[in-house]
Parts: sequence; C-alpha cells; structure tokens
Amino acid sequence: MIVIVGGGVTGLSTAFWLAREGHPVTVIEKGIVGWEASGRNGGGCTHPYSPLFREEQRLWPMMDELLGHPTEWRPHRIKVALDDGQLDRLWKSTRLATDQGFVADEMDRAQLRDMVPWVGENAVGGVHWRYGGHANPQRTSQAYAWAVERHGGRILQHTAVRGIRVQGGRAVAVDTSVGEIGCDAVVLAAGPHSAALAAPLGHRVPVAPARVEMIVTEPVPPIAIGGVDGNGLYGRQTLRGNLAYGGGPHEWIDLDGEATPRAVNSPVVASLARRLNEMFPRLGHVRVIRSWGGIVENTPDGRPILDRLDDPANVVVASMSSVGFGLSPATGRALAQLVLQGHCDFADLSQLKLSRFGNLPLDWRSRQGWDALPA
Amino acid sequence: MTIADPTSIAGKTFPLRGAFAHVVVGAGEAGIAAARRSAAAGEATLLVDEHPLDPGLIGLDIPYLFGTRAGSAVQNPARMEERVAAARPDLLAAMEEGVEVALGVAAWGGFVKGQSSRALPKPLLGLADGAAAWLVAFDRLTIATGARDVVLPFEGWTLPGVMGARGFDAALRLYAAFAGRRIAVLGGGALADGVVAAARHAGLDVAAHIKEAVPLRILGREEVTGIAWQSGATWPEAACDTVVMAVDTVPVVDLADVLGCAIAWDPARGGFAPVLDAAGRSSHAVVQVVGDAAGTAPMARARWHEVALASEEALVCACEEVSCGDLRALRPPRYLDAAGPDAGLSALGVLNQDQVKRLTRAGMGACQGRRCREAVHALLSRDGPAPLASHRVPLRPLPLCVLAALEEDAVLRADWTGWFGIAAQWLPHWEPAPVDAEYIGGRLSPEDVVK
Repeated sequence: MIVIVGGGVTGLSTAFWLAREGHPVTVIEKGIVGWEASGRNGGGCTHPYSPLFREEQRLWPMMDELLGHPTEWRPHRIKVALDDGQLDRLWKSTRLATDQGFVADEMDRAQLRDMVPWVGENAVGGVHWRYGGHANPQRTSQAYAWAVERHGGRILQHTAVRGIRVQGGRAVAVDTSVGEIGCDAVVLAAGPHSAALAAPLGHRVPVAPARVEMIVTEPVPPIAIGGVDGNGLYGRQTLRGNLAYGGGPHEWIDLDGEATPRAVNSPVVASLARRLNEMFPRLGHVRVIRSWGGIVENTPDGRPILDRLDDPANVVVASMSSVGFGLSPATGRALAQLVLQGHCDFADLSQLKLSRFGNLPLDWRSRQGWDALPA
Repeated sequence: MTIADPTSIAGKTFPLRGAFAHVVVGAGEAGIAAARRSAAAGEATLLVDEHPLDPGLIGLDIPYLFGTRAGSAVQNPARMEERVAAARPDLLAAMEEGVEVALGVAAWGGFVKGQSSRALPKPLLGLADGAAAWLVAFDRLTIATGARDVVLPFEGWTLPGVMGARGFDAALRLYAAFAGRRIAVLGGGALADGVVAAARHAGLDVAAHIKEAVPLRILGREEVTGIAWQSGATWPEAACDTVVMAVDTVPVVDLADVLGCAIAWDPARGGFAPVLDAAGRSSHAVVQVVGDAAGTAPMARARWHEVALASEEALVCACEEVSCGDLRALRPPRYLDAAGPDAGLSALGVLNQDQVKRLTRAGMGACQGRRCREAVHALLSRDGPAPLASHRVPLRPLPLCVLAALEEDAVLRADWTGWFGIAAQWLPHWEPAPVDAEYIGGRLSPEDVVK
C-alpha cells in the first residue's frame, strides 16, 4: 500500500499514475480534494524553467482521455506587453522555451488586436507562444481523484494525518484520524503542512506559507486563445468566458496546527482590477463577480522539492513551491517513479533534492524577509 | 535586521476616504435606528445604503428578485434618490442628527485582521457607487442588510414578471415603480399576506393566491401571462402579468460571512444566520447584526423546494443554465458536452455546495448565486444541512473600471510582481540555484521578474 498524504494536484496525480499501473494507493486529505491552492489558481500549463516542462507539454493533450473527465485544457498562450520593459522580460521568459525547440511568434499591436480584441492602444506588442496552455484547476483536481478511484485507488477525505510510524528505517504506517494505515511507501504532498509531518522523521522541509489572491469577472464572449495575460498578471479566459487573473502582493503567514487558515481576500482585489483594466481597456464595463484567496508554500529558492529520502528510505517528499498545477501531470508521473524505482527516467531532478537546504540557517525565513506580519 | 520582502503586502497601505467610529450598512428601520443612536452619543457615524440601485443590478436581480417588473423610472437616479428618501422619513431625521448618509452606495467587501490577513491596521469596509470604489475604516460595524428573496425554480420562473416579495416591495413602495397590474402570489404565511394586502392597497388585482405547495407552471412566452397549478386532478389557470414568490426570505449574511463572522444553520431564523450574543454582537467583537439580517421568520420553504425540485427539468441556476437533473448527475456545464461521474452527486461523498458549484457552475453566474443559493442548498441537504456556500468579494458585481478606480498606494504599485519575486524560481531548475548570500535571496528586482 502506498499512502499519499495530501489530496492536492501533486498528490492526486501521483496516486493516479500509481493506480493506473495497478499499485494499491490511498490518498489522505484533511478536507476536500483540490480544495486549497490546487483548485483555485491561474490554471497555467506553461513552465519552461522546469525539467518537467517537456513532459508537461507532452501529457496535457492526453489528460482528458487519461482521466476520463474534461480538464478544459486548451493549447497556446498569448502574452501582452504594455511597455518596452514588459516586452523585454517577456522575451526573456520566451527564450527559456524557444531554446528548447518550442516556437513563439512576435506580435505587433495589430496582430495582437486580431487575436485579443480587448487590448487597447496602450499595448506595445506581444508574443504568441505556440506551446503551453491552460486548464480548469478544480475540474482537473476532481478528475484526478475520480480516475484514482476508477483504477481501484482509495481517497479518504476529511481525514487528518497525525504522524508516520517508522520501524527499521522504513515508514510502516500512517496514523490518521480514522486509525492507522499500514504502508509500503509514503508520499508527503501536503503543501505547507509537509514541514510538520516531516519534522518527526528528522527532516526539515523548509517551506513558508503565503496567501495569494485572484479576481474573476462575469463571462465575456470567448476568444480563440483564451490563455492571455501580461501586465504583472497571470490568468486566462476560462472556456465559459470569465476572466480569472491574479498577481501582486502576497502575504507570508504562519500555520496554526493542521488546519489551513481561511484564505481571505484583501483590498488588493482592486489593484488586480486596475491592472486587468489597463491590459484590456475595452473591458472597463465588465463586472468583477468574485475573488479567491489561496494558501501556497514556497521553498527558499522558489523551486520544487521532489526527493526520495535516504532515511526512512521509502518516503518521498514533494513540494512544488507555489507552482504546481500545470506541471502536475508530469510531477505525478515523476513522483510515481521515485516511489517505485527511486529515480525519474525522463527528467533531471538532481537539483530538486531536499539536501540542497542542508546548511540552511534556522532563521531562513527572517533572513529572506518572509516572516508573517505581527498578529 | 532584515528587510521585509518588498513584493509582499508588508509595508503596503490602503488609502482611505474616511474613518468612522461606527458604520452602518443598510438604511432600513433597524439600520437607521442604530445609526441615530451612535450619532446621538457623539460618534462619527456613516450610514450607507445601496438604494437607489444601479439599474444594471436590478436587471441582474440584485439584491432582490425584481423580475424586470420595475418600470423605466428606476433609470433616473436623481428621482430614485428622492423616492428612497421619501420612503424612509427617518433618514432625514438621522441626517439632521449628524449621521453621514450615503445613498446609492454598496458595501462590497469587509476586511479585518485575521490569521492570514495581518496587513490592515484597522478594519476596512469596501464601498462603491456607480463611478468608483473606495475604502473607509471603522471601529464598529452594524450590518443591517435585511433579507432577500427565496426563488422557487418552478417552470417559467425566469420569465419577466416573476419576482420575489422583497423585490415587489422595493418596486412598489421604495421606488414607486412597479409596472404590473394583475398579480398571483405564492406563499401561505405572513409574508404572502403582506404582499396581498400591499397589492390591494395599491389598487392592483390579485388574480390568485396559492397558499399550499403544489406543482405549478408559470405561463407565458415573452413574459408572464398567467399561472397554472395542480388542484387534485385538475390544473386551474389564472391570467396575470406578475407572479410574486412570497414563500420565504433569508437573512442577507454576505458581509458577515466575508468578515469571518460565525454563521450557523438555524431554520428558526430563516436558514443560515449569524451567530449572535444577547447584545446582537457577532463572533467578531466589532461587528453587530440587526434587523432581518440577524434572522427572519422561521423557514417556510422546505416543502415548496421539495415540490419545485421534483422535476429534473427545473432550471435551478439561470445564469449558468443548470437544471435539477444536471445537479443530481453532477454534469459538467453544457459547453463541455460531457457526462458527470456514473454515481452522480454520490461520487463526492459528503456534499459541499462550493465544490458542487465549481463542478456544475450552479451559483457561479453574474447574479452571484442569489437566485439559486437556497434551491441548490436544499438539493444537497437530504442528509442534513450542507455547509454554507462561501460569499466572495465583491459582494455586488462591480465593473472593472469602478473597482479599478479605488485609490492605490504608490508603493504597492511600484513593488508589484506577477508571482512572488524569487529570482531562482524563474531560472532553469536543472541548473543549480545561485548560491550567493542573497539567494536565499536571489530575489530579483520587480523589473527583472518574469512569469
């Protein structure tokens, strides 16, 4: 039995790939699957700085079929720049992909307007990424969960993990609010909560939780490539037509026990509206109808931890450092390989080991300026 | 001494248009009384009320089910403001006693310190009129937002001319703009009796008063032309231009919910209602809830929902076109043309309205779920009440340009980044992260951060 702690996209995808190959899996989720940051995010599927990028691009077109439920995945992205600085930075990130053989086209304002009728005279240009894409986070998270169950895996919602029992250098059981579950391997994919679960095993998983937020408008007529963003915002037009965008200041927070704090919104939602209206000046009349908050975690270098520990040797630790949704098809497959064979055969994860933080000072959060504000 | 992450909310400010000892939201009887009391005690008091509403909101049935039976007079804001003031004579007295009154101003958000939100020095309220959004600070807040209509998804309910008791009352008495002549009333309690009496007083015909929950159809093609209901083996009909759903109302708990006030299921108070102490204080010491927002009459809709939701075709969520059958099958939205899980709703285990919302889109539309919230909740509560579906800021739909007009801290703008601002996050992860002292720091300046 492989026990996966955490029913977010990373844990669910890992469970999916394992269950699909016939391995017995149990996912333990303290609330509802995909409920936290996994189900509420920008939905982007374009991460060229990741060693999992190529696999991300390969897998997304197959995910609806693999999972048996629609993910709303759509290919390509369009990036909008409102000044030359934005355009320069846009090309920097574009080159990360084009250096790997992916194709991107420069767009002048007229071409941009053809594809994205909402932009105005203030746009200086853009780039059409003929790679990447976007999908619906909640629908995808749920699709993973149902696919796990279809392949015989078990998902325990509303179940908390209290600890992991180790014997002879191996995790042998996971202690939960519904009793102990014996295991042959454990995957810790509990977002910011992984730190507290790993500590009794003698490992420090350095992650700092933060609250982030997004806004959503009423639907506007869908355009062909809805994955449009820029101007310091990430986001997309959903297939239904809503505009969902985030960005701007986050708030570093502290956890209080096993619950995830209520992810409220702040007046930053107005700044998101301002940036969105700057990017799409023709949509000033479109109404904002909701906003989301979510809790994510970051490692000190902002990069994932995807590692199988030496001791206990059957425990895999996973944190995507606040960027997990789009990569999840590939991450889950990589983690399944770490569980089964100890290494990933399709991506170089050598830089993503937990040991890189071995010498991290204890007060690393303070040194980063990442402390929670005083109560 | 470390410097706080400049891309975080630390050190950012939120410019205010004012600070008040006491802010009251909702200028009904209870709200006006609360505002007058604090003004009399010498407190700086602001009383806001969203009436007269933006005509666009009336079209979206916010906050009541107006059913497009308000006449063109509501398009004239100045006249409507006079009407609102005339309908509530105590408002004038409140102003004379020093209450600052703002009509046509909606409270769209409330922001208080909490475990994940510590950046606010004082509790803030988000306000907006048709032109701009702004913030005010408050020491004490009174929520007097009243009650709103419960919609029963009987066939034909989306036709122009179907309205709720609160919508009818607002159109008739607050705006003096009710555009119907002949009404049918649903409901067997005091709410419905009040609608019948008000209608007769206004010289309207009451064509039918259906007191018991029975299967019924609202008739009409372009708008309401009549109503038919089951009576034994027959289906009598009555001609009418308006159907008023006066079965039940619910406390408006949206603002209390976003502020984090505890809210509990309490059928004796109309459904979900704020948890209050004897003095009317919510679980937030500085937030008080009064009037219908604190609780309405005991819930009277259960049987009616049962009857209305018996039909698989019943259109529960009009904004997103989700039927009762779609909900039971947990069917993805129609644009995906896909089936739900074989087990339907049972595939989810314990039912949660927010989760069902995200999967079916019921309650996700432009009316912000006001028209379907209770029906969906009833449908998910067969094994006991499902938890409260969350309310999200902005509590009223706000045009991008209105929300964008909120005054912004220059530092917040200068330090803006798309996502955190951790240099190494955006460099190839197959190469080692920079190891200089800043790496832990490898923070880039905002200009260098790409996403």
